[in-house]
Amino acid sequence: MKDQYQKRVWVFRIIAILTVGWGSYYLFWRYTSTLNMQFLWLAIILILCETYSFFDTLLFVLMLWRPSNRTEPPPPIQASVDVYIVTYNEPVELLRLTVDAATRIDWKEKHVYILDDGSRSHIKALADEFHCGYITRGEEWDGKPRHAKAGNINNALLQTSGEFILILDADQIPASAIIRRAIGYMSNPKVAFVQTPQYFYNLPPGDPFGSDAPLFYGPIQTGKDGWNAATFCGSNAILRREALLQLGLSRFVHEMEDNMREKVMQLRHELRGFRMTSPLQKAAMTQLKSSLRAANKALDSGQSLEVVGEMARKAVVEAQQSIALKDFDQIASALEELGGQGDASALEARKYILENKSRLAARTAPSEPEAVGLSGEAYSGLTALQDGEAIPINSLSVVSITEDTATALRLHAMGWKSIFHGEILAYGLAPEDLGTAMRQRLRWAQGTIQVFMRENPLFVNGLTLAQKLLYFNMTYSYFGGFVNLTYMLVPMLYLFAQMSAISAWSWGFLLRLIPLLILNRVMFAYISKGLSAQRGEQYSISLFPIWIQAILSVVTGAKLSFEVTPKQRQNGNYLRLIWPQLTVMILAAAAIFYGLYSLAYGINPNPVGIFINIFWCVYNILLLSNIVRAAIYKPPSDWNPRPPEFLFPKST
Amino acid sequence: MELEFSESTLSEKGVLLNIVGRLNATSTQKLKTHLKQLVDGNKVELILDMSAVSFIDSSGLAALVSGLKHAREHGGWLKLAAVNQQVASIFKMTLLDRVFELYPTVEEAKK
Repeated sequence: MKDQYQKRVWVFRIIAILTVGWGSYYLFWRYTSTLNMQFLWLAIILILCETYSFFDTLLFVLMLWRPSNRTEPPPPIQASVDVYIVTYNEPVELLRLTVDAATRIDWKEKHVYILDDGSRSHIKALADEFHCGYITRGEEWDGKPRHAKAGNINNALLQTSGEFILILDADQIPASAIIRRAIGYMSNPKVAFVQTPQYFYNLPPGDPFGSDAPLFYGPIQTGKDGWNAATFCGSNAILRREALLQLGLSRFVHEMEDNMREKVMQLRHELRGFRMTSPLQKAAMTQLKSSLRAANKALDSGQSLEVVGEMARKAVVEAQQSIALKDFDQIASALEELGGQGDASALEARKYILENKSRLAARTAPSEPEAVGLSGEAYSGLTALQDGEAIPINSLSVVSITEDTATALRLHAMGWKSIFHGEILAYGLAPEDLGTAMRQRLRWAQGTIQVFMRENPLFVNGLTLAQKLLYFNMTYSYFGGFVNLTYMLVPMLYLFAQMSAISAWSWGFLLRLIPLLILNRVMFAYISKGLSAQRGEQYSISLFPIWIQAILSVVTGAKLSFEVTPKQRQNGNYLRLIWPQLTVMILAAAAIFYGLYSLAYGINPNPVGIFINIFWCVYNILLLSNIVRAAIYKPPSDWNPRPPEFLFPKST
Repeated sequence: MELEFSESTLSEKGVLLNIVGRLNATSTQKLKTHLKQLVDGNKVELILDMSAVSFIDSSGLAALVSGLKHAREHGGWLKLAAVNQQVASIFKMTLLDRVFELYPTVEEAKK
């Protein structure tokens, strides 16, 4: 077993080194000898895309360089487990299967809860029927951001107490062994989560929508696991409550810190815009400014929030008192003059005031922040904690519509470990139509890019270099949308207009390119040996409009929302959804004909160039044809997928 | 809250100034300027109706003392009427209750 693993890893490494080596050579040669100066803009676009692809390959190799080798899981530990079934609007029949199977999970100390964000009475009835807990949002959430699935789970975390939490989406029917097989890894107290695969029992024959992810729940997750960077997928995973709470607390402190920083900034900003109503305030303000600067510095140097808050508050009070001290100086000198006119009590008062100046200043100092040029809002903000959230502790990250990625990223950054256990222990539903499948992909892509924009993994402290790169790769790969579109358009430009990114369509070019393509194919074939990974690969390319849309929507700051993936086939005209792909296919077909025509009539006398580019156009048409098939796909009329029988043994 | 004044003439030199609001660092500059204008306009016998002044701090005191000084310099006087509890306690604390003439009501201040 071990030898076989070693052999697999080393064969991959050799192929990978050859691929990367040849790729470097090819790219170097492309940069130095083949840029077409006549169409330099096009040459640069294409070479940038090829460079992108090269780094994509590098990251892929890194990911798979030292996969984990988990065979038999460690023996189970004794622990209490809360089973969360997370639902919003899924039909009760669907939920019934999951709840039924969850109550059959072979684990003594377990509590099953339905987390119903739809607060539906018939789901409550279902919970009662199976004697499980039923959790909805309380009044504290009224008018507050709900944070979709992450909010739902965070809400439940505060109401249950199991040491571990098994999270299941509404459609993920658990096998009875799910806890027993996965919880053993938790014997290592540093492990925060154990992720198991998602398996779909409703895949139509041939998996037209590319839902099956054997490559992801196989080599990719195993590879990431080897770097302690397994992806948390939001369902079919066991999480350690302690890790989630620690994460929530640390986020809480972070957010308070940010809050405090913002408030101190606001105070300082307000001071800048303040018009002095009396010259007395000037000195006080100068003092306040420097004190607030000190508070800001203290915050940067990791001083506790209480101390910093106190510093800022004290700075304001001192500024107010210094105004008061100057007021009393003024009063004293006025009293002196009055005394000079013969008012004895004025002199008496003056003497008394000068003797007790600081005490009096403390008692009568202007108490409002406005006196020193601050809004009450900014000042009171210093004492306030997090405003606006329903519950103070958000364990599952709420910064993104894909809460799982963001949560795992933070757990990894805190030094927690993750496990990918590759055994199928839950059976769920994949989208049954192209529209739903595409929306789901769009949401994943948007969420991942959103995490990247808010918390760029390359700059997150606490992650190892490999973790940073692998998290970075999750977003990087979506830029392939632009790259693949370019790869599709470039041959057409050549065939239609003889615009070429490459200076010479020569045999020398083919001699360098073809080995690279072959090596790439060999590497991919080796990795996906025995898996039906082809469909997924096709989709990663042919969904290019989705990836582009995802990037553009996040970059332009469009509002994104968490959307529950519908669990039933939706009817609709899906050809409309793939108009970009259809356009590319039609253009490519036209380009092929025009290329042949221009060869036959001597418009373009370069047969090598024409055939290479026709080859690419044909290749792209074939690749994209899968998504056309998916768009017009209708399941067989007797298609009625059922979850595996063994999940519901008759004996009970 | 903005500080507001309304005034009524009592005699050739006398003015009753009704002050509404809080006498604090952000508002007293206005009072100071106003008192100075009155004195410069030879209105030097001043009664300040303080019944609607809910709060005073050190800068409010300074404004009143400087008003008093100006009035006296021009041969007049400045009386405070109907001072509320908080304001009275500040005067007491600073011994300024001995410097100012304080009256429980405007009517008594007029006598």
